[in-house]
Amino acid sequence: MGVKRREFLKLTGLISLGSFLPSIKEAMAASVPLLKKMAESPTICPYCAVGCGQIVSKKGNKLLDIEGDPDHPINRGALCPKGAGSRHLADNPRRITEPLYRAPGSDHWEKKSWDWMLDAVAKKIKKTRDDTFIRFDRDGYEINRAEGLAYLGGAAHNNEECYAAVKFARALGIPWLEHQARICHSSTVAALGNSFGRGAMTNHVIDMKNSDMFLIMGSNAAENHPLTFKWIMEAVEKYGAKIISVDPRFTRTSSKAHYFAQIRAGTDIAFLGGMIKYIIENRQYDEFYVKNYTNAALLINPNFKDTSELDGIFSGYDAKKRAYDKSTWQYQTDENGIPLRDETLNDPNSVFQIMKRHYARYSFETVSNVTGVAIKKLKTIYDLYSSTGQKGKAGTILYAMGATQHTYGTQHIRGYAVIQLLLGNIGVAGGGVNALRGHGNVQGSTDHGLLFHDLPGYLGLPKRKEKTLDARIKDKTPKNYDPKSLNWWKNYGKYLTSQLAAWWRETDPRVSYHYLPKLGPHKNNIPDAGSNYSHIAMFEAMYQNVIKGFFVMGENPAVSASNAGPARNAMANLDWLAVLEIFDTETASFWNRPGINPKKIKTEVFLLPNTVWVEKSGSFTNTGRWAQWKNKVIDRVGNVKDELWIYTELVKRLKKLYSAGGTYPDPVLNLSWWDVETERLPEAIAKEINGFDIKTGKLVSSFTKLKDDGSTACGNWLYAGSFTEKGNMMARRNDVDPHPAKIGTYSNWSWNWPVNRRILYNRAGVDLNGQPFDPRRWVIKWNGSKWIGDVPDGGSPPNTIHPFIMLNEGYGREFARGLLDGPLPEHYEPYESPIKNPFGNTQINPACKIWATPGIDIHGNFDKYPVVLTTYRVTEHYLAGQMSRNIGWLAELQPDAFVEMDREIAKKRGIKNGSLCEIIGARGKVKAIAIVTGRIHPLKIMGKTVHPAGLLWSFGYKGLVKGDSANLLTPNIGDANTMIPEYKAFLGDLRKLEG
Amino acid sequence: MSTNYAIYFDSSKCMACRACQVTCKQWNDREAEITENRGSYENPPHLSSQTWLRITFHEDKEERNDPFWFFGRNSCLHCTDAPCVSVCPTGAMAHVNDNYVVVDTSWCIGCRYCVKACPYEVPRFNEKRGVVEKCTFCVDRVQNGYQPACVKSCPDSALEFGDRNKMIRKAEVRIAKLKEQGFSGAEIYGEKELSGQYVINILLNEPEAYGMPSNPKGTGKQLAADWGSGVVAAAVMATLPIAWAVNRRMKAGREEK
Amino acid sequence: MSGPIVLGQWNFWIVLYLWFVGIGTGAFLTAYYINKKGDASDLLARASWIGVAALAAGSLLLLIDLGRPLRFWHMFVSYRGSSVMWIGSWLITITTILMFIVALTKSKGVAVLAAIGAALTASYVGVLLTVSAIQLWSGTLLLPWLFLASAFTTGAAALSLSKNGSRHADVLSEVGKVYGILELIILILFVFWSFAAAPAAALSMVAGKYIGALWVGVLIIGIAAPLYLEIKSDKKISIAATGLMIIFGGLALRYLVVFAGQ
Repeated sequence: MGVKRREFLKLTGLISLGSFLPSIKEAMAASVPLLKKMAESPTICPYCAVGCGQIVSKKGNKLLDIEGDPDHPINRGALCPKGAGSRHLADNPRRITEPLYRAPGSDHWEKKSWDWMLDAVAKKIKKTRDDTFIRFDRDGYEINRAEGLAYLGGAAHNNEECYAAVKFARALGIPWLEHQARICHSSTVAALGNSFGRGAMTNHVIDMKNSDMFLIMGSNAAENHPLTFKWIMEAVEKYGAKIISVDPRFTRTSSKAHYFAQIRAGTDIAFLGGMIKYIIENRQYDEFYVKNYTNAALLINPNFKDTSELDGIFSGYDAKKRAYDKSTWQYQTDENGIPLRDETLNDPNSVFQIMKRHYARYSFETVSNVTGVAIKKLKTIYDLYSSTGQKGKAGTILYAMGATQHTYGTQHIRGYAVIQLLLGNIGVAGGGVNALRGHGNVQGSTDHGLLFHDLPGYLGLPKRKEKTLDARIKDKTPKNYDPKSLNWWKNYGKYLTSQLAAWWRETDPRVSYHYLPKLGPHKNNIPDAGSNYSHIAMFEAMYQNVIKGFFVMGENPAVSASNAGPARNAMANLDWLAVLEIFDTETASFWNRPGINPKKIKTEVFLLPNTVWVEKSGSFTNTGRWAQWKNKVIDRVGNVKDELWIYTELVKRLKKLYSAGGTYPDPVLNLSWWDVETERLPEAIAKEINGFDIKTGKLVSSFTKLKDDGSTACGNWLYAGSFTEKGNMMARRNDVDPHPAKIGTYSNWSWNWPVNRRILYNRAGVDLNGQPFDPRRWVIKWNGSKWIGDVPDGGSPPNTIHPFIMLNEGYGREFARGLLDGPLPEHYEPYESPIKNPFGNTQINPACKIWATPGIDIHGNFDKYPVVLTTYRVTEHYLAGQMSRNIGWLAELQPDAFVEMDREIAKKRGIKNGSLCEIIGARGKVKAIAIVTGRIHPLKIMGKTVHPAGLLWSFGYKGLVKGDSANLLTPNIGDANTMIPEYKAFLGDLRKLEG
Repeated sequence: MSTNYAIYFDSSKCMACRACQVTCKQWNDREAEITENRGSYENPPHLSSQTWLRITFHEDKEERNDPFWFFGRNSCLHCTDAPCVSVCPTGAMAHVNDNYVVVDTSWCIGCRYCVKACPYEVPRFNEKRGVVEKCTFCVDRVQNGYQPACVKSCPDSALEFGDRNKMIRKAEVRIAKLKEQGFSGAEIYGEKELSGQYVINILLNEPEAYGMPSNPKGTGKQLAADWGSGVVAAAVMATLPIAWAVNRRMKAGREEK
Repeated sequence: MSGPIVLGQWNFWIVLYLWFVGIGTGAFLTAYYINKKGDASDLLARASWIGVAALAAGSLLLLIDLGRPLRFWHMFVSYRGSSVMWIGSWLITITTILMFIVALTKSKGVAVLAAIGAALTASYVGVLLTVSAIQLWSGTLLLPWLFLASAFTTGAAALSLSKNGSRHADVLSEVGKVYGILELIILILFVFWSFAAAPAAALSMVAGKYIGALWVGVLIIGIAAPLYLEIKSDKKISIAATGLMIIFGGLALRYLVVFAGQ
C-alpha cells in the first residue's frame, strides 16, 4: 500500500519543501544524509571502570555525537546510559566555567581571575602547612607531616593527574591523603593482596565470556557495570553459563539471573562460610590445585586457636587495644625457614584441617537462620557453584561495594578468595575474584597511591621507625628461603629508590627519603592519630578542628561520606576549602545548603573549574587493569583550566613562596616538576611514571630494568613498560585477539599492568608440566621450550616456581596470616544488627575501630530501628551524582531519591507506592519516594521477621534533580583492615509522610 | 541497500539499563523531560516528541517464590498496515522504502490525527514546532550503513538489527528455547500484527502485560466498518426520522387548520 | 529540560468544531426537509446561512487547532483516500460552498446536493473519531449516529432561536422531540456498549471524572429537560430555554466524548 501512495506523491511533486530530516522526498531517493557526522576521534568513557571506548565527532569546538567505539574490544560500540549521555557531561550549561570564590560568611560566589585564585590558594596552603607542620614528634622521630592539610579525590582523574597530585601532596607532607578508593574497594586491595599477592581484579571484563558460572554477590553488575553483561550474556548464550545473584533485593542483575537468593544485608560471610563447609565436606574442591597451589597443606603454629574454640575470636587478641598479636598465626618452618607441609592435608595443624574445623559451625540451619535464605536454596546454590571445582570448569565471582563496605569487608572478599582457591578457579580463563571497580580510573588512582598509607605502586608510606631509606627497604623486603618462591617483593628497594629519584631528581634518594611524611602515633585529641588518616578519620578530625585546609579534586564527600550530616558540618571548621570540579557540588557549596545560614560559616571556598575527559589527554586504568590512553578531542570551554596546569601553577607559586622561607622548605624547593607546556604535560608525566635512565633519559622497557642506586627514575614501577622507547603502549589500538585459544586477551590493545599480563596468576591455571587444566580456554601453555598465550606470571619453566609469585611463600592463601582481624573469614554481625551473633559471643568484628565522638557516633538498636537498611546506586546515577544529576538525560530517568521496601512493611506503616516517606535512623532522617515492591521480601532471621529496605544514596542538594543522600543515615565505622565505612548494613525505620 | 531490515528486541535479555533510551535522545538531539518517581524505575511516563523510545518496567503483582521483573520496549513498531499513515490527511506520515514509518516534519500540519490513531500511542505532538514527531528508525543511519542508535548502544544484544526474515527466524528459535526454560507465555510480537511490523519483539508474557494490545486493529477493516456505519447513519438518520417528524407535524398542522 | 510532557491531546477547539458542524448541518437538513414538505424557503435561507457560518467557524477552529495552521493547504494537494480527515476536509469544504450557493441562489438542485453533503458531514465527524485507537471512540459504531441525532436536535434548536424560527416552532419542536428520543436511545446504547469496549472510559462517564458532563450536561440539560418541556408544550417559557439547553447539551456531548475518550 505504501508504493501506490508514494508514486502518487511523486507525481504530484508537492512533497517536502523543507529540508529537516527525515524528509520523505529524500527518503524516497534512498539517501537520507546522516543527521550529524560521526566517528572521528576515539576516547574512553569517563564513567565507570569497565573502560568502554567511545567515538566523538564535533563541529568546530562543539560536540555533535558521542557513541560507542565499534572497534573497542570491550564494548564493541555499545554503551550504558551514562556513557550514551556523556555528551551532555561536556556540553552542559551547568558547568562552572569561571573560577569562583566564596568569602568567609558570604552567601554567594564571586568570579575571580585565575591568578588571584592560585595566589590565594598557594598562600593558604603555605600558611596551613607552616602552622601545622610537625618535623619531629614528641618521641623524637622525624615525621614531616602537615597535620592541618587534607587532600581528597582522584578516581575520576587520569593516571597522570593522580600521579601529579600524589607527588604534590606528599612533597607538602600532607598526611590526610585519601580518595574514593578508600570507601569503595580498599578492602579488595587488602583481601586480594593478602590472598593472591595483588590487590586487583584477577581477570578482566572480556574474560567473563569464558565462564561457566557467575556468582554475582555484592554487585549489581547489570546496573553499575552494564557492559560486563555483554560478556556475561555471551557466556550464557553460547556456552550455557549460569548466573547466580545473591543480593538484599532483587535487582536488574537478578532479573537476568538463573538463581536468586535474597540475603540479609551484612551476612555474606555466613553465606560463604556455609559454601566453604559444603565444598570441603562434599569434596567438591580441586584436590590437586588445593595441595599444590594453595597453602592448604602448610602447617600453622600449633598454638593457633580458632574462633570455634575462643567464642568468636582468634588467638592473640588484646581486647583493650581491639587488636591481634599475629604471632600464633604463622607457618611452622624447617631449619631453612621453608614452611612445613603435609601433602595428605590430614595434619590437625594444616590449614586445610583448621579451615575444616573453623567452618564446621556454618551448618545449613545456622546459615539459613542468619542470612534468611531458605536451606533448599542454599543447597542449590552451593551445589551449583561448587560444581565449578571440576577440571575444565570455570566459575567466577563478581562483586563490588556490596561486599567491600562492611566492618568485615576485607574478610568477606577473603571468603571469595578461599572458595576460588578451593575450586581451582584462580589463574584460569573465566575464573577469578573479580572486583568491579566504580570510577573510571579508580584502579589507576589506587595504583598511584592516593591513599594515606601508600605510595604509588603499593610501596607503602614509611613508618616513623624506619629512619632511613635502607631501614625502610630492609623492613619491606620479605625474606623467603623456599627456592621455588619467586618472592617478587625482594625488588622493593629498586622501586622505592627509583620513585624517590623521580620525585626529587637532584637529591640523593637517601636524603629525599626524609622528605616523605612518616606514619606513626602522634598524640592529639584524635584517637589513633598518626597511624589512621583514613576517610572516616579525616572527617572525625575535621569535626574536631584538627584539619584547617582541605583540597578536593573531583570527589563529593557531602554526599558520599558515611554519616554525612556531621561530615557536612565538619567542613565548616575549615579555614579554607579548595575544590577542583566541573559542576558546583554539594561539597563545594556545603556553606549554602538548605537549613544552613551561610553567614555563620567562615570557611573560605575556592572553586576551581576544570576539564572533562574530552578536553585533555591522559590514561584511565579500567577494572581489568588496562591502562587506556585517550587524546584530547576538543578545547576547554570558557575559562576552565587543566588540572595539570593548576598543579603546575601551584607548585610554581609554592616554590616561589618557600624560596623566601618557610617551615622545612626542602621537599618543596627540590621537587622535580615538569617544565613543559600544558598540552604536553600528560605525555611527560606518563614517561616519568614509566621510568627512565636518569643519565641517558632512555625510557625503561620494564621494571626489571630499575635499579636501587638512584640511577633510574620511575614514578610507579607497576606501570614500567607502559610508555617505552617503542612508544605509548597505552595508546595501542589493535582490536584483534592474538591469543591462540581466542579467550579474548586482546593483548595488543592498550597496555595493562603487570607487564601486559591479562589474567593474573595464570601459572596456577596449568599443571606441573605447564599444560592447561582446560584445553579449550587455556591461558598459558608450555610448549616445551617457552610459554605461549598470555604473559606468564614469571617466565621460568613449569614447576620451577610456585604460582603466586607476589606472595613470599608462593602459595595462594586460604589462610592469610597478614590481616589484622584474623586469618580466616568469620561471620560477625554488622555494627547495627537485628540479632545476637549465633556463631559466637563476639558480636561485631573484634578488630575494627569503634568511633565514639559524642553527638555524632550514635549507635541504633533493633528495638527502636527495626528495619535492616542498605544503600546502593542505580544505572542512571553515578556515585555521588555530580556527573549524572546534572545531566538531563539521566536525571529524567531517575528523578528522585527512593527507598525500596516490601509490601508487608509498607502496609504496616501505611506507606503507598510512589509516595514520599521518611527513613529514620539513629544518626539522621532522610526523605525519599517509596517504591513498594515484590522484589524485596521480609526475612525470617533467628525466628524473627525482619524487614529489609534499601536506599539510593546518589542524591544531594545540588544538580538538576535533588534529594536526600542516604549517607545521612550510615554509621562511621570502618573495616578492621582498611577503615572502609559500613555503608551496606545498618538499622532504621520507615514513616509515611503523605497519604 | 536492503530495505527489509528490522529491529529485534528480546525482553528476556533486556536488563533495562536504558542505554537505548538515552542514545536515542543523544543521536536525535531530544531534550530531557521533567519527571518524577511514581513508585517505579520507569520514566518518562509516556513517549513524547522528546522521548521516542522508552523501556517499560513490569513486576508481577502477586507474590511468587522469586520475583519476576521484566522489561518492554515502548517505541514505534513501524507497522505495515500503519494506522498513523492511513489516517494522515497530508501524507506527511508515510512509509519509507516500503517499510519504516517516518513523519516528514516539513509537511506535517500538526492535526494530531495520528496521535489518536496509533494503538501504541507512539506519534507525539511537539508544541514548539507544531508538528508530530516520533522514532524514525534512524533512517538516516540505516541508509548510510549504520545500525539504529538504540540497537548499537545495547550492551547485551537484547536489541539487534538485521534482515526481517532472519530476525523472525531468530525469534522463533528463541521462543522455543524460552518455552523450554519455562517461559510458557513467551511469544513473538510484530511478525503478523498489523500485517507485520519492522520491530520484532520477543515477549515473556502476554502483550497486555507490557501495555501492548494483543490484537491491534488494522485500519483496513476498521475503515470499511466505520465508513459503512457512517454512511448508513447518514442515509438513515438524515432521512427517515426527519421526514417522519416533519410529515407528522405538517399533517397535524393541516388538520389543525 | 523541557516543560511538562506534551502528548498531543485533542482539546477544546475540536469539541467546538464538532459542535459547530453538528449545528450547521443539522439546521440545514431540518430546514431542507421542512421546506420540502411545505413552504419554508425563508427558513432554508436562514439555515443555509447558519450552516455556512457554523461550518466555516468550525473549520476555522480546526485550523487554529493545527500545529501549523498555515500549512492547512497541504491537505488539499495530496490524495489521501484512506484518511477520514482528508475526506472530511473536502466534504466540509464542498458542503459549505454548496450551502453558500443555496443561500444565495435558493437553487433546489443545489439544495439537494448540499443536503447530501450536510448529512455526510454530520456523520463524518463521528467517523473521524471512530477511526482511531481511542477505545471509547472506536469501540462502538455509534458515534456517527449519536452525532447525527445531536446535529438534528441542536440544529433544530438553533433554527427555533433564529429570526424565522417562531413561524416553524411546532415542526422544529417535533424534530427536537423525535431526535431527542433517538439521541437518548443511542446514548444509552453507546454507554452500555462502551462498558464492554472501553470500560475505563465508560466508568469515567457514568461514575467518574465525567459524571457531571454525562448526567447533568448531556442527559438532564441536553435531553431530558427539553424533552419534558417540549412534551408539556409549555410554549411561553420553552422556545428560548429549550433551544439554549439543547444547544448546550450538544456541546456537553462533544466534550464528554472527546475528553472521556482520551
